Amino acid sequence: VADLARLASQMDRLYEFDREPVTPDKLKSFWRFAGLYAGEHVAATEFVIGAFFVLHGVTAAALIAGLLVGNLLAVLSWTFICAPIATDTRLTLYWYLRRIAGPGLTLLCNVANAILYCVLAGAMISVSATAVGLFFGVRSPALSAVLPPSTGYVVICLALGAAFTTLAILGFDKLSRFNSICSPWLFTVFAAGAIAVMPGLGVQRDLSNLWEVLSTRVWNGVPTPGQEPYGFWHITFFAWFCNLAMHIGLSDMALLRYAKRWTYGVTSAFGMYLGHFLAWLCSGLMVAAIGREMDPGRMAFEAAGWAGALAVLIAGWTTANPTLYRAGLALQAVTPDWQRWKITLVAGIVTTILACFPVFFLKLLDYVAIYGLVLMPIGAIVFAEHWMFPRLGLQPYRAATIGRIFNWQALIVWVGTLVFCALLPIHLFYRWLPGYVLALVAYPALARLSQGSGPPSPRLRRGHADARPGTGRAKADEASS
Amino acid sequence: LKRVAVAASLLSYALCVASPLLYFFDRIDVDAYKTLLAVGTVGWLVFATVWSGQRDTT
Repeated sequence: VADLARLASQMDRLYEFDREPVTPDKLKSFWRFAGLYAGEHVAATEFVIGAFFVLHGVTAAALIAGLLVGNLLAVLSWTFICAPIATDTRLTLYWYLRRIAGPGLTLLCNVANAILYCVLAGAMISVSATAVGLFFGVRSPALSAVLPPSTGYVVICLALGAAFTTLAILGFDKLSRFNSICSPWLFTVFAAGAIAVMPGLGVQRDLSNLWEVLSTRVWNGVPTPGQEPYGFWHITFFAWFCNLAMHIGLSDMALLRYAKRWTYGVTSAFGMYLGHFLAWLCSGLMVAAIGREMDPGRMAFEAAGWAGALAVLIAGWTTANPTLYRAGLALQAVTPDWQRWKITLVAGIVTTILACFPVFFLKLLDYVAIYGLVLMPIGAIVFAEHWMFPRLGLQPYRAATIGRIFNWQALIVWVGTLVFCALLPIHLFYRWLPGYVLALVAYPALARLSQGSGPPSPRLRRGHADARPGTGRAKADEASS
Repeated sequence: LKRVAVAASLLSYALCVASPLLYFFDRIDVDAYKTLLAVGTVGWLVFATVWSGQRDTT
């Protein structure tokens, strides 16, 4: 316990810069959020995800309907679940969770996050490797590959991993700026590639047979051998949970705490409908044009030439870089006295080794589902404590009040929900929703058992116990801004 | 310098947007499309970076 307390204290110092709630003078405009979301969700993963929908044999109608509904549900999750808590507390998830679950559980959550980040960054390096491999005649891995397909592929992954890690160590801020420059261009490359492959797929110049081509030659309902067939519900749920850790899991409190109003959560629609709708459709068209082969580098090169290959490389880089940075930040907590460059180097080495195994990017859809699933119970715990506890007469923030390292109820709910989800006999994509409901019910129930039925203590957080978006503390914030 | 960077980046971006449309409507061939897109890409990445740097210094 003493070691854990020391590690937690070390971690607190790392996040010290955002410990205080955001002040009204720091709040950002609606369009700033629109730009942020639009840029963040047009990334390297889009080259893979949109292409996989084609390989899974979804029909055009099911895809478009599923994406429209699923992305709407994601936007609503940002708007009605994440943004209200973010604008009410003006805190990052880290500091809010620390009050609720205690520093020990927050530390565990951070380490879990770091491991998940490393795998994601590794997948992005693998995607970039498919673009670089084009120039050296190195073939991309087969769809069922788990192990590295060739020495050349490993060498490229190692070289890219070394380059990305070095750049992450040298200058995160400058690369973040470069990322914002690349975002509009990346979207244009997606669109350009899709437009350019249309004539080859048989689309007439007047677009008269567009729907016919889309539904017979692109999303024709026939899965590639070995791929599970997907339908409307798979697509809907995938689009919804694709960023589960961000909205339901509340990681985007870090971003939305700067919003003037909770309604700014709707700006996530700019990311969803540009990145997770149009960009996915574009990459689907591009993969259909190369005979449904999962090779992001070749797909982009065939559709958009050198610019396409460069887009895959840069998208992988700009996605992997902040992910590596976050992984380093999260891991730094368990490596006291290590400098940032050293822990980023370790995270980079782990990520680079993972990148050599193509299974992570070839199973990206399943990985995205697991990533969201692991962090989802944390979001449910915070949601329950923020909104349900006052109404149920339960005392919130017991970990902070009593000075606990661990909130055992939260830990039991986190682990129990994951076990429950693992045992559910339904498709991986659907498991998070019953798990979320279970966590929302189980956490207050365990808290009731632990606290008994005594009267609740005064609230500790900034806002009023019944503060709702647009009322109480949140309204005062709006007025002062 | 800022005005030049802004104009050049917007022009480069326009080239990226226009090239696939020109190809789709059969005004240019596939090689010309890919060349124009590559030129627009380099232009955007260079001039938008300069533009961004200028914006920060002013």
